[in-house]
Amino acid sequence: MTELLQEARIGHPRAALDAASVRDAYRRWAGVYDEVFGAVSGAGRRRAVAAVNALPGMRVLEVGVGTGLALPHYDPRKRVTGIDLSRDMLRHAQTRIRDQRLRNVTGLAEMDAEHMAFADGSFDIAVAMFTATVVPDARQLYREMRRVVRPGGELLFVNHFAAERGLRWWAERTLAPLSRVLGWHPDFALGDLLENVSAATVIDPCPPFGLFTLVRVPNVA
Amino acid sequence: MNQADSKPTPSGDIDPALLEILVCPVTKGPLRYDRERGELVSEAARLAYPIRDGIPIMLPDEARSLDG
Repeated sequence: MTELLQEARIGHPRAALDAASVRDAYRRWAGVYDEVFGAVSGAGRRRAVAAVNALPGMRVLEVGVGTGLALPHYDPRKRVTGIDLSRDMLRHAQTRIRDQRLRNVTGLAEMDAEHMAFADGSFDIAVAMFTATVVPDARQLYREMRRVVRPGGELLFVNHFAAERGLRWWAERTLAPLSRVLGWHPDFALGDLLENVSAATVIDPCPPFGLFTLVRVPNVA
Repeated sequence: MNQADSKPTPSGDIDPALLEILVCPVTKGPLRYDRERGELVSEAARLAYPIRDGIPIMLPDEARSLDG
């Protein structure tokens, strides 16, 4: 397992953040995460959940569920499972589920998104919000999401993807210190996630400044 | 997978729908739910994954080795 992880890291140029450092960062940030991160990422999150709700499948996986900020926004008919590598974040999510009586959340599990503990085709939809940039190997994340979603299902991503110019470029420069603290790679590009960028059917910029982008990829067999 | 009943466990309850789709992250093979110990056991990987407060910890590094 550890060998697999190391191999993955060596094989990928962006393998700067290992699981332990991601976890550490979130442990330190768990208390204020909702205020800081929730405010910046709210629009992107709402857009992604609305996209999930508009899709026909009922079995939903949220990869990198964090403190469960998105959970109350899912259609109550969707059966949502959430995974994260941060135990502290998952505890916050559990409290949220209990307090808000979110009965459509099937459960939470602590998992490495690159090596998930789900059977093939367990879900109709998998959504990863602000997660692709914090895993050591985004393409391995993508492969795992493809594996656990049934053929014909859908993969959704909301992430910051690097801009080259314009207002968004300016906004990124301004927010760079924040993005580093939260473990984003300011230079992360869509090609770092998808082997074939043209597989994406929807690429939809979200406010503020189109800083985050919603990307939808059909899980073709 | 054992049948779920209403008796509470020290590890907390897990939704049967979640149990149904969980596999060993190493072998992607089946898991046996040990309610008494609050563990998900992968015989093939010789690992037992703990369940804490109803949250399964599906990480090989945190699992108990069945071989001591």
